[in-house]
Amino acid sequence: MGRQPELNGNEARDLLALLVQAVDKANQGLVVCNKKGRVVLRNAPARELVNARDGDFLAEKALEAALGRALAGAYHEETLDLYSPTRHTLKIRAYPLGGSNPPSGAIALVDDVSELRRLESVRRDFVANLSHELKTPLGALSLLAETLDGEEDPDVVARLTARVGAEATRFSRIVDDLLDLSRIEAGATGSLSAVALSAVIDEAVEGFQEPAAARGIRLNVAPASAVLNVMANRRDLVSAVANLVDNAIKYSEPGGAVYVDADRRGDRACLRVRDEGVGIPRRDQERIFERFYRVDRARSRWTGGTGLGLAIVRHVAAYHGGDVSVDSVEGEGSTFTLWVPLANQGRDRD
Amino acid sequence: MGPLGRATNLAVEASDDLAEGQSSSAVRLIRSLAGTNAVVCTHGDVIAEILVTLADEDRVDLGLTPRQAKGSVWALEGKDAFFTSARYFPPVVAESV
Repeated sequence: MGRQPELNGNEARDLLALLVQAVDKANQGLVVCNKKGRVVLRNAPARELVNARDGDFLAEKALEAALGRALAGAYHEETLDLYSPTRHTLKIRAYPLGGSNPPSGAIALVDDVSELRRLESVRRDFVANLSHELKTPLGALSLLAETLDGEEDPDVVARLTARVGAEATRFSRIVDDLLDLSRIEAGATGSLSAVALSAVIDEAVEGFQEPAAARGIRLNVAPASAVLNVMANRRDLVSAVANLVDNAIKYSEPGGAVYVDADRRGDRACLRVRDEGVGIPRRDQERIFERFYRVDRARSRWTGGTGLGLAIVRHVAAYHGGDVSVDSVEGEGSTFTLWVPLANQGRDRD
Repeated sequence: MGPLGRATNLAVEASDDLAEGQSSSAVRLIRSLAGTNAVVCTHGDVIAEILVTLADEDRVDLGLTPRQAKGSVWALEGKDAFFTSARYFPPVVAESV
């Protein structure tokens, strides 16, 4: 290592100013105190994290205590939850500086770990939900297999065998949807290209005419008022629209109708799937796009839903630079609106 | 159910809701009994359907490989038509005298 050249007074001041500017650019809050406990340096993130909150008093006290313990020669770490005005979690770590007996000062590093905590909580919930969702059909298969063993009545065997098939299909659907969701969330979606929205809608509704008719539900697809080309991954957009149509049919009563239409709104295409079904209670409307969230678990079981369809729609919309929203009145029906950016706006104007 | 009824001095009531293939009505009956002390006996396929429904709709944990050997018992706990737990008791093998 080369020897540090000696600095004159001006050079030392310039270097100090430079260092202060450098630590101001860090993402982490940093507070340094001298051996008397007086704060001699507090970078910009530390000022922002600790001082800009209503809970700053608590944060400041925790920081002082952490620096005090570090000045006593010990590493200190603590996590601080602040609830005002919104919940924030700060992680504070303090180290003695210049040897520990006695230290010549102390440094405290402050991180805002709120988002990390939120993501950990989301991940824990997801794993818990996932294990339950996978265990249920597996448990059903185990129960049904034991019941089938030794059963001689052909009617019962036929019924149980059908149930085994249904549970296996259900398991397979969950795995398929999980893989789709994982691929979309990981961004492994391929490039977007100009796709005719009418072709996407046609492909998405293609398989639903028969099951809708079988349940006495009319599936009405309005012809597009103009050529609408959107920037899309065709496969994923078809999957998103199909999920919306599938849900609309599943949550409609016999004799009802499902309407699909699209038009242009500014620089985006707006695709609507409307049903006259059971609707969604207001309290559930914000949560229906969460993975495995179900408004009516009994109905979902009966319809064979995986609880992942709307999460897939939301992710598809997001990575297309679009959005999805719901407008629903319990007992009257729901309208899901999918927004996707238009491609080649100049040519597509009607 | 006869010996249990005699031992506990309780009448045994037959219900068509528990007949083979009647899983929906069986689930309704079981839900109506949530929070009470009742013993119900039915066919294996109906039990399987009830358990899977409760695992699905009430998020009752049946374990990874739930069983239902002939003569076994599932103890369900809950209230207000909703179940919170299920516990398996394997069949009791009678000791030969």
